[in-house]
Amino acid sequence: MSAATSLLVRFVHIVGMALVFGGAVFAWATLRAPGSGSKRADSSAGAVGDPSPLATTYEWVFWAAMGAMVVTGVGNLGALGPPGPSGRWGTILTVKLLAVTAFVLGSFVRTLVALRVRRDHPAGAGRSLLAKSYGATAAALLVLVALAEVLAHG
Amino acid sequence: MAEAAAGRFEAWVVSSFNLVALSLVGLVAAHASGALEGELANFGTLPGVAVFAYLWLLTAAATRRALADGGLADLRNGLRGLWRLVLRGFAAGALIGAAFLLGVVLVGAVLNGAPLLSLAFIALIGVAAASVVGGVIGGLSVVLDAGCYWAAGRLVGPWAKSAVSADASDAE
Repeated sequence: MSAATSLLVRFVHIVGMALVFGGAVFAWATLRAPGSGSKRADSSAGAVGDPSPLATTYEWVFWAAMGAMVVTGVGNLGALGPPGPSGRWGTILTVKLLAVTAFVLGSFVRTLVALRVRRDHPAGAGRSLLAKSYGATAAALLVLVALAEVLAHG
Repeated sequence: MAEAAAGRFEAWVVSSFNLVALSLVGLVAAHASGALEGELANFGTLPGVAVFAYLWLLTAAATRRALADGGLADLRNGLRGLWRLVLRGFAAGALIGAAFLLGVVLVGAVLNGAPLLSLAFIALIGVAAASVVGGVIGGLSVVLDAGCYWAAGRLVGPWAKSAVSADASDAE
């Protein structure tokens, strides 16, 4: 892999992580804002209190970014030369892959929560549940970033 | 209009999740067996990205088709709904497997100048096998999706009850 390609792969990987982490923090902070959760869809300010548009936009971006990060993550491994499963680096990589797999599974449950809230409940519903979900997403992403840092810098 | 947008959203998140989850399971298995090192050494970055993008496109299109008739909400119909979705998932997976192999073989043959006869032979045998493998993966993916849908329902259900109670208290 050329140096430019390697740089591009890492750039996409880091931008993807910035998007999903920054988006989760933004969604959490917006949805937990006091007072706005009581606004109703049938009021003049109802659109402000409805969490579904924000959640839907985040989920579109999140899954696009996850796909891009999986393929660039493999590209990064190719550039670094992946280790075997044994040894310290190999063990950390195993832990990171398992943690990412668990995170993706949990994230899909969160996405389906957003889908079910949007489909089955009135506009404006589900605000606190979604705020907690995005807060948990941001916290889990911090752990993954820490693991990635250990992998990259030892 | 809103239904169509909801359908596109559902197809996008389900297809992307299934592809990402499958890729991660493959990566973990390859790493644990020590095969990852050798595989990556033989695979360039751009071909890898192109293959992944092609698979993503196929998965999104096939999932949109599989979820067109009610989507995951069909799971509310119990085992009958699950069975219908598993069958649709099997069909979508079989289509993805066949189209993926055909695309990869075709591009590979064009780039390497392989003879038409050997290409047809590989396609004939390979497509049948890829359809079966893809179908099984598609069916298993639906079971995983259904499990996550059930878990999401367990989270939303108690919250909806407590929200209704809070609304009643506010009214008083």
